[in-house]
Amino acid sequence: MTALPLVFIAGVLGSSHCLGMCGPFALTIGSGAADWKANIGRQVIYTVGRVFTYAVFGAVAGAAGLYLQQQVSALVNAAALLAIVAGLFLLYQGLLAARVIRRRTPNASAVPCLAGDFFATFLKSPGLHNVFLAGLFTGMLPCGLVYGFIALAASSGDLVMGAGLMAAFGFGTAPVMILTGCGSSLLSLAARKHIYRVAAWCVIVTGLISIARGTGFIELPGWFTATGCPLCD
Amino acid sequence: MTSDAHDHSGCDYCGLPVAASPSSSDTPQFCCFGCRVASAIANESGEEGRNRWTLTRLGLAIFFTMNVMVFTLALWSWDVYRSDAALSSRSASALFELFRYLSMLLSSIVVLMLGGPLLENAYENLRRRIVTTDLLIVAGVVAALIYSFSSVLTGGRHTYFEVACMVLVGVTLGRWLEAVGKLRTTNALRSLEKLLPESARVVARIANPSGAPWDGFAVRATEEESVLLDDIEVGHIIRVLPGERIAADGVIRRGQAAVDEKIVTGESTPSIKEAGDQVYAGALNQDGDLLVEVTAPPRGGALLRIIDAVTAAATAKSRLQTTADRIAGWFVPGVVVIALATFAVHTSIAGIGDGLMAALAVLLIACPCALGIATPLAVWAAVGRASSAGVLFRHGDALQQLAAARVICFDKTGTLTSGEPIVDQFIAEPGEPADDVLRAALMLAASSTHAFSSAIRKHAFARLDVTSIPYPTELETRPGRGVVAKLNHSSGAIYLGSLALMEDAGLQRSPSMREAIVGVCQAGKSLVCIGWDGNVRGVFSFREQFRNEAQSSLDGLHAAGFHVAILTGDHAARTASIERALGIAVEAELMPEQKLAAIRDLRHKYGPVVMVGDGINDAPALAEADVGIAMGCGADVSREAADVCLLGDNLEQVGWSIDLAKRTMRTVRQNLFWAFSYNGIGILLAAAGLLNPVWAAVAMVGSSLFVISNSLRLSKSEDCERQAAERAEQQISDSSVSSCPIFPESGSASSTL
Repeated sequence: MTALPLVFIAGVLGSSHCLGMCGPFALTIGSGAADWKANIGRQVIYTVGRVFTYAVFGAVAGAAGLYLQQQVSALVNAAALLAIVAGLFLLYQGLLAARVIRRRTPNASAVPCLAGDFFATFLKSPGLHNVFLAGLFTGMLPCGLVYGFIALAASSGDLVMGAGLMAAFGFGTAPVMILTGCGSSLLSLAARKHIYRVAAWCVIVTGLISIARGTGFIELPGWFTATGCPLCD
Repeated sequence: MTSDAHDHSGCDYCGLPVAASPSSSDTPQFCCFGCRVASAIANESGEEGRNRWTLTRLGLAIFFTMNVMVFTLALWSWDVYRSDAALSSRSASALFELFRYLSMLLSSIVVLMLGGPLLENAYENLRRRIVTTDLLIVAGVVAALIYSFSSVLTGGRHTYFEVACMVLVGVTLGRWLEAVGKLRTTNALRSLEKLLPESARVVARIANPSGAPWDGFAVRATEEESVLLDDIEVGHIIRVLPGERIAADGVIRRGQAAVDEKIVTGESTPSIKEAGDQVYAGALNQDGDLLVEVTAPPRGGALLRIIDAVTAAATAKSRLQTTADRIAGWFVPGVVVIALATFAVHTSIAGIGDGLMAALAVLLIACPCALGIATPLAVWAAVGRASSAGVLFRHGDALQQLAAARVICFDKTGTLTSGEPIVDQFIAEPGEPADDVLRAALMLAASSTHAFSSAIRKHAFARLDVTSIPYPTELETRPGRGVVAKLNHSSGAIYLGSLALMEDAGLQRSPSMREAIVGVCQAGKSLVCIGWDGNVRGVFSFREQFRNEAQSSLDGLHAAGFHVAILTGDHAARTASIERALGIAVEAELMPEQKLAAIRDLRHKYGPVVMVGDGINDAPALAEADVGIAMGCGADVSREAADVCLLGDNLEQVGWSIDLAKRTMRTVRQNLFWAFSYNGIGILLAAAGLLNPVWAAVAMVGSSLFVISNSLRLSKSEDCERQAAERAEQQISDSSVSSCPIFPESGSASSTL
């Protein structure tokens, strides 16, 4: 369980990354509020929606990890392997964010984004249920950092642990996102870039810890035997 | 495009053809379930966003489905953990029993939310006697639910609530995204119609009865009346201010302005229009205050004829589409048989639950939605993209034929050449000052509008230092021969014109002039002579002027591997120089029927032939060719002989159109290949019981999204693609601020937070 506080901290630090993509959404959500109290309410509901999605992803990843452990446990320790894979993924994301390595991105913007119509409607609609749904769908946006932690959740091999891990990450991103949504520009662009770099190194450290844990346990056999997953059969 | 404005039997949402005509024209008709949902969402969005229940319903259904998924996974992991003593306690059992009931409750809500519209659509289709896989999917979902309900209530082990929820969400979301994608492919057409202003300033309701000059017509602001577009009638005088678009086709009665008519005539530079000139609806008045007498109803003008032509082209079913439809028609009964067989086999082997799941997976993965939109989406996107570039395809088949073309034939005059001659050579009588002869020719040419006079004027202005041109007296135009005039009353007559005019006037030719004239005639060039006082004093020869882009366009087509030929009725001697200049085979002195024979011959030798002409004097050749391309159609898009109309006269658009056609057919082939292989492999897997219906639902959405995004790439202009590539470069160089995949611009906006 030592991973949860670390993941929460990674979430807090990583929120400077979130502002790049999701900050404008939080501001849009805030623009529909009558006063600052209503706005805080909307921001909290928006965040809960986001964290709900993360937790579901974490639970699914945890279950998938569990399933993998059942399938390959006779040969290797799947949890350890997943931890190494997750660690490598986080390391890669961290190095990308820290700009140690670079990647030629595919021309994503050339492909028309059909989901935009769907998502934008919830962002701009009044009503708290729409705010919640906007948060729910924000959680589904492609994000390297989220993928990294989903991989970590899979390595937990546990539904509840996976959900908890992703929820911890989601709640870690909450403070800065809520403040941003309330209109506070707490951090200047320069400061944000600085913190972004610190966050990147934090992700790198998380990845390294995960790899170290995985390599430490790689030779242990699996813990469970079970029937197949109804989703994967 | 609104369906009431144009009478074609298309879907009320996306405009694509509807499978069968409805019993009543009052009820809205939709081509698919997605358009029904999307239309409901669009209508609700119109109500100031207060009542967006359809979309909210979909969103909430996704939320409940996520819950059901987690409960299902928890139930599954209970199976895994059951050996653990702590978890097999009574409280754990109670908790997981609660999860089963919660799954039942939440999936019931999902079914109530999403099942209704799907059932309604299936019922509508049944009424039209169309059996769709949607109906079967609904049946499968209901069966899965009944099984799961009885399982929960009777203490059975397996439930399939997550399958029912995921299938409903997958089908609804997938169909809705399809509808939005289809709508986007028609955006180019919609943007054409948006060029018409919603209303116009009407300053008078009848045409000037007395026929008095309009300069005397005083217009005061108070006399103006804003009239909605549909209420404008023929005979109204409308006022168009600078920066406004003209609401209806008409004739300028007062004022002068630079008018940008690119959208209608394809002419990229604005032309100066003044009283008496024709103007078209949608054209932009750049800088003048115009009074225009409306000559055509606002929805009957040139622009709307263009839109109708393009709409007709897009909605007419191409041969490829007909083939795909025929296959899809066999698909549904085939799939039903496979699904029933799968159900029977798996039920006998592993029980009714597995049988049901395998059959449902077959139905989902076999859903021919990707197959159905593979061709029309690509054709819509390409036809719309072409129309915004000033290229009108008259039917979708033209794209297919153009992509298959091997030979491109060009008409010469007016197609490769601008149709305006230029002076090739000017030879003056030896001993006569050449500039004086040219000055005399300029004086006469300045008084004539003939194309040769215009060429002589240009030549003289380029060669002489002209400050003023003396105005001749006793000017006389002799039709078909030339002009005769005097410098002043006491001087002798000067003749400018054909050899026949010189002979009529009894002008003598010196040996050197005779030699020059023979040389010009042997070269097959046109000839104009000038003479006075009994002698011919100079000879002009002319040649046709190639369009600026002719050489590069022909080179491009050559390089792309096409056999390029020029078919012309011109004199062989005259075309020899063209053959040399362009390096292209020219078949000269062809009568119209010989042109047809030449096209047949080329088709026999090389393959499908494209004929490019001006669409007027070479209409038979355009009709004979596999694809006829008419240039410079302008507002006259009704040239029936041409399969493709270029609004402007830019030759480069020929190559561009062929390239677009090839890209379109490549996209169609990719789409069809994808759809067939996806369905084929998917059905095999599902029938073997190797595919869970949840994954089948996800794959169904993914497959349609592939086809949609692949087709939409065609509707993007090259400029857009270039800008997108530049943006991607920019992202790489500044990756610290992520860009948003939903709102690409929001990434940069965030930097100002």
